[in-house]
Amino acid sequence: MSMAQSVGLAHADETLPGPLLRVSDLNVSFTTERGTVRAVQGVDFSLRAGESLALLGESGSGKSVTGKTILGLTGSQGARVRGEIVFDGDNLVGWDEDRLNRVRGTDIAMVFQDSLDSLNPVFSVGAQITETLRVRGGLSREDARARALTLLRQVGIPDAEQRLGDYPYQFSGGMRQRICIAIAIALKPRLLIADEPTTALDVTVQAGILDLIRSLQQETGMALIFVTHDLSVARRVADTVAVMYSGRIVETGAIRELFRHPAHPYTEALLRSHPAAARHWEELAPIGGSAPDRADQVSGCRFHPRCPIARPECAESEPALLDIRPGHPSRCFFAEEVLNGTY
Amino acid sequence: MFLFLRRRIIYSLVALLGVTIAVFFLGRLNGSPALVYLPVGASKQQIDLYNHQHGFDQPLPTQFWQFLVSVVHFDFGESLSQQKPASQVIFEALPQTLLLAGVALLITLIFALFLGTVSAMKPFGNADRSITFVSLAIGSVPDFWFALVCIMFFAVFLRLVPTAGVAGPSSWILPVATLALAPIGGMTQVVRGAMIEALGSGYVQNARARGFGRWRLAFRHSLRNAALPIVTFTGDRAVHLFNGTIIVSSVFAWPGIGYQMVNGVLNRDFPVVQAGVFIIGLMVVIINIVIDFAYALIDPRVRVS
Amino acid sequence: MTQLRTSDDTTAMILSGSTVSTSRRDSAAWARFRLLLRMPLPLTAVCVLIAFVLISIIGGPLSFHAANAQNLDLRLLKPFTLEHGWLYVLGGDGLGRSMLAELVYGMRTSLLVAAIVVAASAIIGGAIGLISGYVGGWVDTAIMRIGDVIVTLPSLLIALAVLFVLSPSMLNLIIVLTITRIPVYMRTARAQTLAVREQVFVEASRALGARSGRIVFHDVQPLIVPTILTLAMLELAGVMLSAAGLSFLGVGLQRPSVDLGTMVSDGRSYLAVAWWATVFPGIAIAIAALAANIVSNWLRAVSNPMTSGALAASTTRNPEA
Repeated sequence: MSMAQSVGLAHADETLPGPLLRVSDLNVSFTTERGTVRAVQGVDFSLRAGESLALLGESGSGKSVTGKTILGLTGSQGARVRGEIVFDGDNLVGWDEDRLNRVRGTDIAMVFQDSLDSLNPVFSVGAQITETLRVRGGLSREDARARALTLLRQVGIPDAEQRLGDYPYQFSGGMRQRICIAIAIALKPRLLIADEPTTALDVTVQAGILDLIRSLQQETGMALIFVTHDLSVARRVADTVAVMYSGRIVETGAIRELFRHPAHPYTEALLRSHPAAARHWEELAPIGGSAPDRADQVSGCRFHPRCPIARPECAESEPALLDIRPGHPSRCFFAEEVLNGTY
Repeated sequence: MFLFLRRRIIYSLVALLGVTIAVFFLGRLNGSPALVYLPVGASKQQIDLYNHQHGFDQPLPTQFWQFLVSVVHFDFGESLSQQKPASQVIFEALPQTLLLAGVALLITLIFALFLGTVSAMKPFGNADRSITFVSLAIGSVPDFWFALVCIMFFAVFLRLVPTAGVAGPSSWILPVATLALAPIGGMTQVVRGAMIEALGSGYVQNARARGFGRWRLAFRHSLRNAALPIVTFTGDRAVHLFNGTIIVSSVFAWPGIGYQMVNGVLNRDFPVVQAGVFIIGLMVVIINIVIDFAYALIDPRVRVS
Repeated sequence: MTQLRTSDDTTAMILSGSTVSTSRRDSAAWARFRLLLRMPLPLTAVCVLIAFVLISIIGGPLSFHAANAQNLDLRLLKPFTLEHGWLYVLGGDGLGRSMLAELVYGMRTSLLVAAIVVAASAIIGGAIGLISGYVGGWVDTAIMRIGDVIVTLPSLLIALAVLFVLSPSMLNLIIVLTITRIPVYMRTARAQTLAVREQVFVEASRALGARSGRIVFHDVQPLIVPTILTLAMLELAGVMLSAAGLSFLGVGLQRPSVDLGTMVSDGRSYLAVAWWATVFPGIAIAIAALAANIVSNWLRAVSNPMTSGALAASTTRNPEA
């Protein structure tokens, strides 16, 4: 597996000591009744404090699994994890539940896609926030309640005082997701992992949530990993993006740079197929075919069956993730050509 | 919140009416009701006389109306073998039965909640497999046989407990054990299923992501959500529990409703049988209403629907 | 448009399935059968049930006479000796009848009664439920309320009362038990019918109106049948136990029809001196019921998509990832 250099930030603060999170050679596989599925293979990336990274990819690319594995949430499904997830100097891989519980919520927190499913229907919203504050944060009942109110206001819930006693089903989708965010940041974590939190929401509501996450991040200096399939969402929320395909990272870089000058055929195809990128309807170009179902079946480069510039070499061996420009690696033999648009 | 209870009460009244109709026709299953009251082999003259005396030769709707009126007053006639009204016989026996069933239910819940949760924390693991097997095993043992074997072993052979009747706390052990045996098996599986579902839900994953420990996840976060199917199952089981009390009454001579019912059948005491059927039906209906009420307490979403 | 589905990564990956290369498509039933072969406990249970059925079919008619033949010389004979021939290897009961013969015949009767009750209630209940769900309206409401009444009363109680009025016999026992079991199937069939009706009617409204009935029966049936079958398997043990209980109380089968419940009741009087007369029939019921319960429990575990993966995983050794 390739050892990638850590991703440099376009505008990193030189005084920061080192990455907050570094993921090296992460491999996650599942045993199902039909055999072994390798969801994540050889993934490397790192994150500095306060930085915002988007994990961008289609369904089945392994982006969600990567996010969950950081918090060790894949264990119950019969997953096997190899590699390193170094957070603040400690490698989280191989930690048991009790050790992981020490960092969960307090250092690393997570927001999920389905806000209704993420909240316990039989407890009031206020009870769920205060429970986190009291049990994990050690606050007293009064302090917890006060902080819960502050949090609700911070995420933009109107009439917070009245709504503390309300139940999850009494809120709209957007409001519920804000509540989930409030719960996640309650203990002031240093890293927030957001797993497609806006996917299930109305487009009009999405913008509000994304702006909220961005501003919270900038207020608290929290790092952010944002898992999404939507390019415009990634643009709104992230500084850096790592594009994933079929369990591997195929390109990483600063987001504006990458979107303007992609260095991988898949990234370019993604951009071309996005409605916002095309000025005319006819310019929209969907990516033919679909992501491989069985991760082991494709030989050579994973994307080559669908790649518009595939050459014979692509079927023989898999390209390594190499810097095509400083801080901008790509996993393609012909990345230079893609970058220059000469193919 | 009580709006939805109204619907349940209406359904219950309809069910009770149905029970009344069923009981009404019970006595007329093989023709004339007199046949059930009079000893076997009564002459046709006696039958006709009896029918006339008790108004059984009147048109059916009239009979039913009279029956309905008397049912509302809990008047099922006089017991043929005991010198008191049939309903009184049943009502006097009711507390013993309810007490026995209540204790058995409590024991069942305690065992099942614990075993089921342990099972659910690691499905198909070693603990789960053992617990599941034991659940199935105790649910397969015939209760009357279990009771007899226990009597033979503990009462006769070891002389630890009395063989029958109600005589101090030790006489409760075997009847309660017999009554609780099968339900513990069934309820453990239901608890297991409900807890697996709750433990696999999004909110538990979310709680886990916040660093809550395994036991807290199970008992605080999941149990109340798992409670609904458990409560439903308890409601269904209430009916089976009554079945069990009949067996227990028969084997241990426990002075409950079952005892009266079985004796009623053996002594051809139809008023008692009639009263027993209706009153037990009434009990079940009341229990179901209580269960629905418990629903609303547990799950706030139900209060609005 | 690019296939940017929004479903969860993990689920998509797992459901889309990976390797274990088989050249031909495995049907669900075949895959389950192969899974069954890997699990010793359900497999044993299935074999036990088949064995019991075979014994009943073959031994049933043969043992009828011996099961009722009293031989006062051999009453209360201890089991596990071959002194008086293999017929009395399991001992004799209070009236000198062969325990072995009684057990075989009793098992046959118990299984037969249970099978008939389950089959009848499943078919009748399923049909009523399907009709009720399809027709809807006041018919549906009426049928449901009747079902409520049946469920309200404890089955033993109903059976006791009814068999008091009509004298006990095998036929009456079967009828009463069937009636008490019907509501369960009714409700299940109705629920499934309702679910399908929503879908089918949308299509049917486009098609000729007269076809909708046949559509429902053709489309609904395959959906209902597996559920009803699983339910029936579950019910088998319960019905066996109920029938035995009623026979024990004296309102079930009467001699010369013997079932395992009657045997326990007969043996009760001799509990102190001939424990085998009571213990053996009970063990027989327990084993049969346990086997049925194990099988139905296994069926439920594999039919449930949420648990079947974990179940399968627990039977295989994890290959090196």
